[in-house]
Amino acid sequence: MRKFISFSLAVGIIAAGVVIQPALAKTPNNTLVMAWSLSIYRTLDPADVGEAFVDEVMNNVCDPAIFLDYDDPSKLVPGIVESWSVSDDARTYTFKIRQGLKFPGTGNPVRAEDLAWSMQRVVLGKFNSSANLTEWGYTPENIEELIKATDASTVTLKTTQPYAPGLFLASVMTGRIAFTLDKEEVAKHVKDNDYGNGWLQSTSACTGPYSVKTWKANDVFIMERNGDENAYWRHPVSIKRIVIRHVPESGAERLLLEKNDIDVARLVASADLGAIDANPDLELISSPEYSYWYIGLCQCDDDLTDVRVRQAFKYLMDYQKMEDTVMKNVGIWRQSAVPAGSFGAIPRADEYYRLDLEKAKELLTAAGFPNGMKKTLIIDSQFPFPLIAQHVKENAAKIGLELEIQQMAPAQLYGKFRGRDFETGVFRWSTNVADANGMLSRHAYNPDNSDEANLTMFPAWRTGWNTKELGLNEMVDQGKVEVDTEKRLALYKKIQEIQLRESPFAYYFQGVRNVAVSKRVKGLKVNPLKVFYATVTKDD
Amino acid sequence: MVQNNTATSVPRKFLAPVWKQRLRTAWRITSSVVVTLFGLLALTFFIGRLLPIDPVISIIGDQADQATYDAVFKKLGLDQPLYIQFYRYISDVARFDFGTAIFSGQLVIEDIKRVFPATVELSTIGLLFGALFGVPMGVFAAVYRNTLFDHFVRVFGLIGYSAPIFWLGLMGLIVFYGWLGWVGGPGRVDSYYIGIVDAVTGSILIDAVMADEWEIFWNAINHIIMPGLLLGFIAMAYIARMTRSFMLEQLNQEYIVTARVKGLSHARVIWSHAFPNITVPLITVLALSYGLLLEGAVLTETVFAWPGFGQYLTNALLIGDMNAVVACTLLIGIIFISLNLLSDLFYRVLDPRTK
Repeated sequence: MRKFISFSLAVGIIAAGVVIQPALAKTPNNTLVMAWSLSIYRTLDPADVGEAFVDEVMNNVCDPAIFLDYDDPSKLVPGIVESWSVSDDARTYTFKIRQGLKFPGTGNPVRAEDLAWSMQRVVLGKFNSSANLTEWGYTPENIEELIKATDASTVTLKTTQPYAPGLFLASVMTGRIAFTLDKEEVAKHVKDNDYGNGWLQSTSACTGPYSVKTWKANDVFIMERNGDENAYWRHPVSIKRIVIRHVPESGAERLLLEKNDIDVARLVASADLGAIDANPDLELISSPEYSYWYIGLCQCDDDLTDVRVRQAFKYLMDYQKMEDTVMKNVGIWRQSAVPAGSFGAIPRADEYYRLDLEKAKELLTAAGFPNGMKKTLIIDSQFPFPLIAQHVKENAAKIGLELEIQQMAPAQLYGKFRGRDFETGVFRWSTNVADANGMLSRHAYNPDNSDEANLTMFPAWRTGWNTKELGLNEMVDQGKVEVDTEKRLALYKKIQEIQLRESPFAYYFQGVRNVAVSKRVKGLKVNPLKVFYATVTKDD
Repeated sequence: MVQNNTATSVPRKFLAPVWKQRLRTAWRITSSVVVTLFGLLALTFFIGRLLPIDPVISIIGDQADQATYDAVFKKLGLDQPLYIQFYRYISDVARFDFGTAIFSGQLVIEDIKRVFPATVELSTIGLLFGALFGVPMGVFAAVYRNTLFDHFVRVFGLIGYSAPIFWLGLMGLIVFYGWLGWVGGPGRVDSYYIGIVDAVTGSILIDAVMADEWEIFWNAINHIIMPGLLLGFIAMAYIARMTRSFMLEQLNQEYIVTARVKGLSHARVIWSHAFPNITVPLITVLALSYGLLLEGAVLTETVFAWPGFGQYLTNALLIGDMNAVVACTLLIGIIFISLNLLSDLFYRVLDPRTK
């Protein structure tokens, strides 16, 4: 026995001697180390990206034709194209390519042909992002005719009808579908007419401040600066290497940040936000996102078709209390469909709905349900869905509305939502345009409400909301083509008001993006749509 | 009258030659392994297809239009009847083609080659800790039954069984990494060393040695020690309890009394007489513990950001990535079958009666 204890002590002491190593003080000055969840990412092809994580990193690898301003995403700033003009009939756009730009991997010059082809392939290859172009009238049949390089430095883009230029440019030319790929290089790797999709799965063939060096799902993602500090055309880039580590647990990210083993934590849960905010060595950067947590009511269920029932759900939320507690630092209450900060958003006001159980009960009774009803509420199992659902359930129970919560994985939840296979559900939606059209063209627009139409990209269709009857389709279409800013604003205000009153959506909270950083990190740009790394500098 | 056993009563010429017997045994084992794996494959495949999770949405996101959805649905072969999907899958697997994982965009076999060594490395360290401390603890708990030490081992075992590993992991990190700074944080190495050593075997410890990067090797040791100890603790709890129980059974046998009466030393009675007799069941316990560690280190891998097999399988399950799930299940099946075969082999070596 004594020998065993001595043996254990000896092993322990040796192990401790081996293990305790002097910890390295902090991350290097020229490297930005970020922790995030890298559970899912499958391709680097800008036309095919679907995940938020890859979308963000690709925004730091590929420059779009036109940038949204780092600080104000409603402003357009020249990108790969240094200037553009719009014809008087608002149907022809002419873009001049910035001279002297080269693709970092090959040294090939960036040409007008590269931009035109990069946009064409999105539709021709029927990739994930193709809907971002097809909704503007582009088809595999007409895109090569409508978007083309007219000389080495000019791209001409025609539209099938006139659109509001600001909206069109922000929607089409600023995102992934307008990243410029090295056509010559990609062409060498095309297999079975895949437009290089297979090769681009693991290669970044575009131009921007960084290139992707290593990526392994569930492990690490490494980017390296292209050239020296002054090689990027837009501004100096101080950070040479960006390492994104897979740390899927918020508490572990916080510990790493506090110990200076990482510089940026991206997966900070609500429980850790307070502690980070209180730590003088750390900084919490928060920005509203253009995203929502909302309830959708399927009109496929006859009980939910009465507008008074829909309105009753909007009276079941204690908006301010939830924002101050459960949703603190995570979401801000907002009832209209257009997120605060984007063009056309009406001011936040509780004149529309507030927690009012008597009013909700009154509405249910008037709709013919004096004894309430029983419905299932499907939700994502991740934070904060269960907490929002529980709050609504508890309030609903007080007016006889019995909600049975069913938690599920996102792929199952949205499968049901897209298939109109639900009664009520809490969902999330985000838009990548700082314009009311981004939300309204999906949530207040449903071209054909029949089951056969299968217009799954429109939540209005998913809930079976016949927007055509209310004249909303026409108004949304009009908003897209109206060039007069004041008239567009008035139109969007009207749509939001109809939506607030009539829609089967109860918008509860607009999302807030939180990024926790070490005080050594300066200049990380966090805006409602994107996060930019190229502006970062680090102190000693 | 002494009874002859069957073997001696049958004339030798009627017995099959040894090589034939061995061939028959090999055939029996191989066919049983193949049937088991096929059954496992079929079961996982069909259960996977019955799951309500939509893998297409995992790929395209929930905002894509129906045309994109249909194209991916077809690309994944989900438009085909189930039996055709299964036939195609089996044909591919027979060629060692497990398809592409949806959530990583890489070949499943390449993914597994990357994540499995990380888990093997962690689980091996865990099992070493577990066995190194668990076996002696179990032996001494049995020898000093009902003493303070025995109670300690039993309570220790109970904690190992019942404490949530996720919580233990976080507490371990807070105390030994956050406060004391004795061990490395989550991840396999510090951020400084990421991407320096080429993955040859997939084990950061071995790869660092092969690359002559001793600084990285020690840093990796520094990082693996905490999750390894945690897994070791869980394994130790089970091993110590089982060892104690096996030893108690042996210590009550008459041959132990005889050995003591003959005047053998206390240590000799325990280690030379009782202990050798528990090695056979102990090997089964160790093999099972290893199998469970390899398969079930999900939470440890999550807390410690360990890019291993458990996390990979969990992610695949959550998004309905059936190519990855089926391949992982098959691997788990192979692990358990191999460990069982291995422990059978040890039985034969350690227990002459099984020959």
